[in-house]
Amino acid sequence: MDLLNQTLNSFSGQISDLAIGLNPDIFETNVINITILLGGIIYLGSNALSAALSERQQKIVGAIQEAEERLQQAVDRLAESEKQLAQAQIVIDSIKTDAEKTAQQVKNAILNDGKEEIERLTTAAKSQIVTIEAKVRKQISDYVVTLALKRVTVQLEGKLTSSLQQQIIDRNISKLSD
Amino acid sequence: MLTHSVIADSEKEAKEIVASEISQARNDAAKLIQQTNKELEAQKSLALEKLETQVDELSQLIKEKLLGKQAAL
Repeated sequence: MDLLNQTLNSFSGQISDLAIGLNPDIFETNVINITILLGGIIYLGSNALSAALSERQQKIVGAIQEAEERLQQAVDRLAESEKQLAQAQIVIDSIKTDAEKTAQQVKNAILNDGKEEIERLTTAAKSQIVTIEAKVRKQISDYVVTLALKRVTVQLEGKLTSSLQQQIIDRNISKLSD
Repeated sequence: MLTHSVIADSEKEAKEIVASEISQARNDAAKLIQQTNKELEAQKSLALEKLETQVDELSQLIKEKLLGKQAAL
């Protein structure tokens, strides 16, 4: 605290030693010249500054307008693109639907062909079974008839005399006349 | 591209299903025929055994037709 007081006292002493004050003589201080000079500078400078600011403003306004135009163009292009995208999406959906429909038709056609092929196979198998059954029946019939004829032949062996043969012939001839 | 892919996939799927079903049907038919053959062979043997007894009657009938009833006796 003492140090601060000492410093302030020292400064106040130095200022009083410099003898600073106002000079009231207008001509000696050149106030008029300075005022005229300042007025000229302000007058000339304000016009130039105004023109520069005006030019700058025009440029900025022009740039803003150009930017707005570009923005509008971009918005228009975006809208057009979105419209085209929507149309393309409709076309894609249509193609997709058609493709699915065609795919289903192809699938159904192949499945129907397969079904018909299976029906043909089933019919052929049934027919084959009927044929086999008929063949077996004929085999049985042939076997029985052959066996019976063999037995008759065996039984008649040695007994078939000429008179018996004549008897058989006469009998069969008489049957023919009937 | 998408269209072809969808149709090709569907076609492939259907062909696989049909091939599988036809193969199954062929196998079933072959088994059925084989089974039928086996059963018919068994029935044939049984029928021949049963008909064996009737062969004599048939022989007698043949003789009667050939020689007449009296001569056949």
